[in-house]
Amino acid sequence: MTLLDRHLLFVGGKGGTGKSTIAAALARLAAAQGQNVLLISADGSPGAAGMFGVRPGFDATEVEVGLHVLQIERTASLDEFVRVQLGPLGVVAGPVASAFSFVADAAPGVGELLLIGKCTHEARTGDWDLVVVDSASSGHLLGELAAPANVAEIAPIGRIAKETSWMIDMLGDPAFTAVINVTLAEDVPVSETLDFVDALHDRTPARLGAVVVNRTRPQLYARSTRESVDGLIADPPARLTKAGSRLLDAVELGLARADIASAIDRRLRSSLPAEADLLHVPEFGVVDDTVSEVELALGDELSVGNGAPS
Amino acid sequence: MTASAKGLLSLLEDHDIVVVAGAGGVGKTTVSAAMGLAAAQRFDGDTLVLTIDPARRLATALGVAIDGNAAVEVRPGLHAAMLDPGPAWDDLVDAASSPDVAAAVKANPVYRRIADTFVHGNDYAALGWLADAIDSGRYDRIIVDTPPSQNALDFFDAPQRVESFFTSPLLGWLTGTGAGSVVGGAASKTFATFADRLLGAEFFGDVVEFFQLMEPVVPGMVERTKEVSLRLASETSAFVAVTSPASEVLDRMQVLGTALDDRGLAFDGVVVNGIEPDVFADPKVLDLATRLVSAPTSATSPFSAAASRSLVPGAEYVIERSAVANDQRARIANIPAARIVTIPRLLDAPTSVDALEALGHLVLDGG
Repeated sequence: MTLLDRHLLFVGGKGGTGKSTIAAALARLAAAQGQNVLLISADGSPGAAGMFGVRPGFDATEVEVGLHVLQIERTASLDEFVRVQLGPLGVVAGPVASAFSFVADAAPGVGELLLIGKCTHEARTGDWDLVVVDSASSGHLLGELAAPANVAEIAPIGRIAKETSWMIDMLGDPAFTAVINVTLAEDVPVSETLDFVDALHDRTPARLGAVVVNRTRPQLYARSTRESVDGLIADPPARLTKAGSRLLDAVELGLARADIASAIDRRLRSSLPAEADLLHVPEFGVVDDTVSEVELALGDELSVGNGAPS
Repeated sequence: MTASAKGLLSLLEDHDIVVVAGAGGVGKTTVSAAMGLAAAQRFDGDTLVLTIDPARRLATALGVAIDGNAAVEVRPGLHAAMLDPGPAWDDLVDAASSPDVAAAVKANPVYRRIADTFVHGNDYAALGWLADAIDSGRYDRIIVDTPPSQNALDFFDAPQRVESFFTSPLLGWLTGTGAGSVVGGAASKTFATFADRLLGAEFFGDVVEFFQLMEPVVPGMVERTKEVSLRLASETSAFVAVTSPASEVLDRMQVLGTALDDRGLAFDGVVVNGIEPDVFADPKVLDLATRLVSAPTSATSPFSAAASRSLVPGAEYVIERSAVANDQRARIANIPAARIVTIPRLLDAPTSVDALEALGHLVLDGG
């Protein structure tokens, strides 16, 4: 099964890896397939949901055909939670409701739980074929995915705890939910990705669906032609012009970058769980619309549209 | 004009504290550590690098293990420390209350989690920790690597946020110190019923107890960190932004610059980390690459026909990166800051102390 056959995708990664762009592109790709998609920004900034020219709010807005966006705000989540939980009792007025928001805000894990609660609730409504969440950085995402189980342990009696078991089931169903980690073809981000994958497995019910290596560099040369250019760089023509010599420097730099990307890729491939996809999005030159470029690249990687298995 | 006029050397000479801010993933921690290493080598006295980065990158980069909140001397004159928010909160509570109260606060089951999660507890703990470092008088200059944040100003505002959190009228009402309070008041029964349903009675009791315990502690804690916050906004402190050359990251930095301006503050320096190296911005290289791609076997090529043909894929790469290099340089020219330093994109992040120090000298002298 491919990523887009799931119903709830959490896209996380270290800051600066381009995770919001990847989340936006995945959502758009699914919408282009005819799915009804909700894209949620959950890291406190407009993020992926803000990439379509509309300022996202707490209610879903359709920004393209089949593509809806919203941004989770902590205060709005709390108010909604209190309204839903206490509203039917009919006595939630003034300071009592405010005091609840206040206490709940200070309660351990509740902020994380409300965030996960909003995402899982949207995925459960049946309104959407797919919910894509542009999540907080790796550490926070782990806390959020672990929140239902943690809260159930700390506050086992209250109404909040009762709400957690279906969330844990949904997060732990690999056919329904998948986590995507976005990384770069560099040592430190990849080490952090591998740490994240271990922690995800140990501390949360959710499973890794894919690692996306963003801004990577495919080899510039086929193996058969690489030798001649390596030879040229090692032994340049005598009396080469300055521009010629600088060009060789620039090409050498490109080759070195591609070699590093390949080495990192081999390291990732040998360390990731077999069921997780390893996807690549190349580094682009100057482009007008990065989301569209990434969407095309991810579409190729997932073989969307040509019917080939991924 | 010498290169040093562009670098951050004078900025480190003239200020006691340098606050380094920026979005996540731009190399803020690396640049902070690098500046510390170079400063320790160039200046007399002791330099401290404080990092609040939860990824704990500095220790790895410097090759030392740093536990707790104690500073470690990495090299003669260079000290490094990483924030451990838990003990830093304990220190703040200890300093602001009697041993009995401090022990009761720390024994409260919700204390640690509240400290971690509400109102950016890390920012606040960091300010307390910075206060200790300043008061110790041990350091001639302190480089502060702030937490990655949507808004680096959160760091300055942490004392106000903590104060308003703990002094809210609502909280007084809840914990029995305000008019019409829940505890023993008329609203008590209704509220406790809801709290029980929602959160579990025991948990709600712990929350109320925590706030009651904290009430006498908060004024002293807030006063201590407010002093530091004011100090950071004064002329003895400098503000350095680290950014990547990506347009969306640069845009966010400009937004931060505007917010600083509203408070009468400004970036004293900007470090743009990871720009395409000069070789890609050389018009002669681009010209040659373009000619190779359009007519590989032209007689004007400085390479043999076979060599020219084999260079075509490389030349295409050079053309792509030239466009990026020129685009980045045009954006950087528009940054309104007195001192701008650019660091070329490296093949791999510097992980050895020597590589970091070389980077630090580049930052001090201007790239």
